[in-house]
Amino acid sequence: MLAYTFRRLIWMMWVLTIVSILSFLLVHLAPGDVARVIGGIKASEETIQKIREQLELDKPIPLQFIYFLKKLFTGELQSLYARRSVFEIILYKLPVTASVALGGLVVALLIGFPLGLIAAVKQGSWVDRIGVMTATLGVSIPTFWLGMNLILLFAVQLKWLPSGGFVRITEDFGGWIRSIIMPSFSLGFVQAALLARMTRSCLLEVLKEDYITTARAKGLRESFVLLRHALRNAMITIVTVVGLIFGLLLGGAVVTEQVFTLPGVGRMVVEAVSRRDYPTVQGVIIFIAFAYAAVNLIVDLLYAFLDPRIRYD
Amino acid sequence: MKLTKNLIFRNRSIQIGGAITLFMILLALFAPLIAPYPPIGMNIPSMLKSPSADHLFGTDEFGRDVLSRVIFGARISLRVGLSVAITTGILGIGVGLFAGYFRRLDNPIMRFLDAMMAIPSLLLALAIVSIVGPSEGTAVAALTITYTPRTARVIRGAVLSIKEQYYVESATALGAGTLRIMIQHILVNCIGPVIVQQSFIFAYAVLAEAMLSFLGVGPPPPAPSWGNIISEARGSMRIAPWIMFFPGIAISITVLGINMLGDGLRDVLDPKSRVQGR
Repeated sequence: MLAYTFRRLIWMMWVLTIVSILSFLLVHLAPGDVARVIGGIKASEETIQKIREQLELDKPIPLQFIYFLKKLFTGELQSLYARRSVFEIILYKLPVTASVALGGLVVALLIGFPLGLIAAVKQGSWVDRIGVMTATLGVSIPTFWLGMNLILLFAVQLKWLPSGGFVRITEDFGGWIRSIIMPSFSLGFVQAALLARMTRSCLLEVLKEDYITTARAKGLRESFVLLRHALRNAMITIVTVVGLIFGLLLGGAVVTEQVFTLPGVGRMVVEAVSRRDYPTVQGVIIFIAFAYAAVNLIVDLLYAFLDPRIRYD
Repeated sequence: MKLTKNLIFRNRSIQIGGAITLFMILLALFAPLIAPYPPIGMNIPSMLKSPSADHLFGTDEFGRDVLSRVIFGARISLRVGLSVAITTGILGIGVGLFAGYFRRLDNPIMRFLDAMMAIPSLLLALAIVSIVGPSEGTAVAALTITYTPRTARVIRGAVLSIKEQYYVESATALGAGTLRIMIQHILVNCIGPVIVQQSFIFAYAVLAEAMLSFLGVGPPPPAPSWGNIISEARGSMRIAPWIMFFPGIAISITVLGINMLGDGLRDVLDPKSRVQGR
């Protein structure tokens, strides 16, 4: 297990190294003079010189990369406009994104898992068909559009929930819940659909195994066979999917925060993009990739713990 | 081959999904003939009219007919979707073949793809478009870069398993060259998974283009795309919800159709992968 953990850690380091190289190079994709692209057409010579200095664009590219890495590790990557370190801003905005992503995960689990379970147990029945249809429909609806419809229904028509904005959990718990219900639902619905499909197909596969037939032949109750024998084994695959879903949630938050005007990391990156604040964009990309890799590392370790065969691959 | 053909045409989700996809493609191709009004240009007297017999989907804040804009919007959305499906297909096959066939290349290539997949696809596309500047071409390029790793992984997996087959071994024994084996024996046999994967990427790309347009970095207005119609309609959402409602329906139906087509094709062409979802 220790060797496996070590291997996965190395893998994570690699992925993060490549991600930082990629996000560093991203800026150099810009056509022409990077500083001028950032400053815009109207920028004065002075502003452009300042940008050039801040990003150290006058140095050779390999040296620029070393400076970039140094800033990254010391947490000194500065936003071009906010005069604060990018990671400071991310940490300040993180509770918003984390609330919505976790809310989305809860929605995905609450809807997707039972739906997939029922569909698999009643394979071929009308429940199964409706479940499969809903799941296919769920992955086809654009999240932002779903969110806008939710706002129209629950905020504008029924006036049950606020149409946007975020309340911190430390300020008002009820307000926090109310502010993340709609964003979590619109974000989690797609993942619920994915999870339902996955749960269904995994469980169907497991139910075909010989040991299930044996368990049934022993005269065990069907619910016991399902919960103790089938679900346990299907669980392994489902855990991995949850890791994957978490990554999708982080990405989906970009759009959802825009729809519900939530001041999170996603909105921050969209704003940074429109202001060409590249250090912020780079910082967010690296941060999210780190979060994603960390979650997947945990999932992988959990997976190896549940199923020892994995460790020896 | 004939058996596969029969299976394809008898599969219910291929029938329905294929019909929807074909319908949308025809709509896009013949938009100027079908749309009742021009998609751009102001018409102030008929501003913000709710759906009626004259304007089935109502009009927007410039008095433009929403139905016509949705019909024309199919052009950009499907063009981007199809282009991305084709380009990621070609690139993904190339990268996947190399990674799967040459053992030494496998590890570095896969680590690189892992890293790319650790960045949420929308974020990566957003970053690329922001730097190069929004246009239809950039959207296609950004989504291609974002989705190629997925196709490459699928191909690599298929290549790895096909490589071990006896017929590949016997071809090698008969002295067939690397290129010949790669193309004639391996590529031909992983065409099924590729078609399936590309149909899903087509669906993703249509959704992603809508999201980029919604965030204001897609193909720029006034040319309508489903995403930018919704994005523009956000401000008047409370007084004129129909403007954002219909393009959303169009996206959902299209993506649903393509997804159903993909599901059906997977059942016929690649039954083994069903377990993994996608």
